[in-house]
Amino acid sequence: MSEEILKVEDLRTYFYSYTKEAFIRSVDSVSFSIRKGEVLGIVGESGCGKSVAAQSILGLITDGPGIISGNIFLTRNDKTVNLLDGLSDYASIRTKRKAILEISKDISGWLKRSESLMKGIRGKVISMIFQNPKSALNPFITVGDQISESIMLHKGIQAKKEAMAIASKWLERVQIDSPSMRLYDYPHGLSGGMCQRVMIAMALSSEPSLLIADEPTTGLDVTIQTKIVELLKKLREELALTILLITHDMNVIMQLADRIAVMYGGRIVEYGLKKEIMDSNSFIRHPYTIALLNSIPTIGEIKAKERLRAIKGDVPDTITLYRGCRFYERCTLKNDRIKKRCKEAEPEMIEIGTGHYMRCWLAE
Amino acid sequence: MGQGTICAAGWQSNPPNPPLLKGGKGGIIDFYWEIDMSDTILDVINLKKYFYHSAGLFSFLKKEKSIIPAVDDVSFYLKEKEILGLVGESGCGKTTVGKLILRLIEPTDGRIIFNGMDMQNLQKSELRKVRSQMQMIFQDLDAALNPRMKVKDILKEAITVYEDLDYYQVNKRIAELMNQVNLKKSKLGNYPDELSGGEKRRVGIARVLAVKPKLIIADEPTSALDVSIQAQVINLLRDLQEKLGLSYLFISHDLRLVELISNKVAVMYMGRIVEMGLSDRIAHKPMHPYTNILWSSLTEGGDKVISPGLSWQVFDFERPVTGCRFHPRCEVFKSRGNPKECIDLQNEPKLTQIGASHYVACHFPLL
Repeated sequence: MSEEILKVEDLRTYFYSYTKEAFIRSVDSVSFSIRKGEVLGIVGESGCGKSVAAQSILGLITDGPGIISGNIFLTRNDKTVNLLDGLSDYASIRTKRKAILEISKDISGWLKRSESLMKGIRGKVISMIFQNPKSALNPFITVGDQISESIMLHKGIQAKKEAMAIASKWLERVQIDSPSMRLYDYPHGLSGGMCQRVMIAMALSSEPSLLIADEPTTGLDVTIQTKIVELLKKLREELALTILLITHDMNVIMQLADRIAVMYGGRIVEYGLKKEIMDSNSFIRHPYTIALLNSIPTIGEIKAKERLRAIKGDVPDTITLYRGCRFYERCTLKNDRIKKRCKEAEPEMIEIGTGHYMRCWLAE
Repeated sequence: MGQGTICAAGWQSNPPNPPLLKGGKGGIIDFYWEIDMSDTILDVINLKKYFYHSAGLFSFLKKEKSIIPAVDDVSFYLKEKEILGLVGESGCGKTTVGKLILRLIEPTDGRIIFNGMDMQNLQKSELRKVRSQMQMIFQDLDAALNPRMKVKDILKEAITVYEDLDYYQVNKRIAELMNQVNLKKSKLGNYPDELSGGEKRRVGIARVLAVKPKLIIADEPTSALDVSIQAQVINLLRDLQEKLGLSYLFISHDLRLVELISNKVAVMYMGRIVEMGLSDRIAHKPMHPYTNILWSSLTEGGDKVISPGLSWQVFDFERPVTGCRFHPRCEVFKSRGNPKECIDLQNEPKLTQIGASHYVACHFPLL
């Protein structure tokens, strides 16, 4: 079980903004790995770079002035490929005294290279469930056609009939009633929860080794959210799925993930096993993780009508270069002992337990 | 501040209408007995809104018109400085109720009494004045703010729409509003797309406050926000309510937030209120099976047993249900061996009092 399917090292995804004349550091030096059969949850507020990290892995970030650097190693059948191999050759930045003079990117070359690397991987080895199921499905094509298209493409099945039969089986697997009838429905005829399940069926129909689920429960009713989480749990046990789960909802993370990476302002601030991160008795915990957990009202708090413990302020923009800790402004745990250091230097990832890393001066 | 009303003189001094009772609705009569009408700000009586399918070119050939009863016989009241939470799954008609109250859409039947005035009888010019006292926070952040106007212009427009103020007064009021919703003044020059979700939401709230309303209809004010920002907005709404003495109709699909913020909670299912009562009672002792399902779908911690009654099914207005609307999903219905009352067409459960200001529309409420 210890085989690493995906290993991301020092991933940086920067976009260049012409109006601000600066880089937006959406993903800034992020490293993590996913082992086979594991669920890694990436959690953070919106704008912290979770989705961009996932899109970088799938090679979905192509256009526009910007750079992706680092290494993404994908292991399949004992072969390891670097999904960013040679991409940096197509982009160059000319700087003078730290000021960016010119950014050039050979987009067609970049696309060619990216496509050659991603061919046979996207949708087949790594597939993705997108955030907004209603807009991710093609409104002009029936659900059955969309799923069978993916099956025919990735599984090498020629006959449409056979593909439709498999599609129907997948729909049954995601607990859709009367699947053989639903195959001929258009996405607008389905409810939000159903669309999400169709997305899951489509993503799983190619039997990928890694599933990226980007906010699978956002925008759904509470009752349906619970059911989607339950379904993912069940499918995971049945099919031994490896999932990269991206969400801002701590509840979903707590139910599904084995390991958690907490992201803030483009960086991972805490990384480790769920039981260690969620362990409320542990004496060092990252202030941001605590704040995230506290902002969810517990049922006891609701009944007592307590005031919610919100995180003050807003997510930092990733344009400004911070000298100190990115969470400094909103942090409530900074004390006099470390305050000065928090403001002036950014903490490194420090290992505080086996496989439990944290980016905070408190940990020292 | 904030109590100052801008409406024409004399409106406030009118005695509010006496309680309206309609015969034949046993449950409704019980329901209105105990109301002290003196400080009721909003009274919704037997409100109905049916939408019709646009049946197409040859619709005249069809005998039956397909009707969607988005709001079907909804009655509730809201007192001053009180928060009523309206909760239900998407598509159950929550937002339609909000729009009907503001008369953004015309009801099919029923009455809405705001501050002793029947909204249905108002002329257009009168309605305009009344709307200054009731405002709506819209669900979609991006669609609600004009992308071509700066924050300052958005607020200025809202301030000057009912009042004739000079330049200095407007600026003073803008500063006051920005202070009330905890926004930095530096954001005044920004366009909505330069703001984060939480900031956009706060601009929306500031705009609503600009006309000094008494009643705010908050339609899913936190649905598109992160949990951390959601908590900020909820705290802000609570603070404003205390400070300015506002009344809210808080519409949401998240029972947690509704319980947290409201004094009273009404649970809607398929266009009808199925349970209503003080939020403490609903939180501690839900009586309708549907409310129970909503509560049980809330997760806490990692290990949670999901109730088997929770199904994928979502209601469907187009498939008419006989008897109780909830029976296809109801656990009680199944466990009692499909009792006749629940599927009897003539005998749909009515909202009846079951405890101290606690109303349930169910033949077999959970005890």
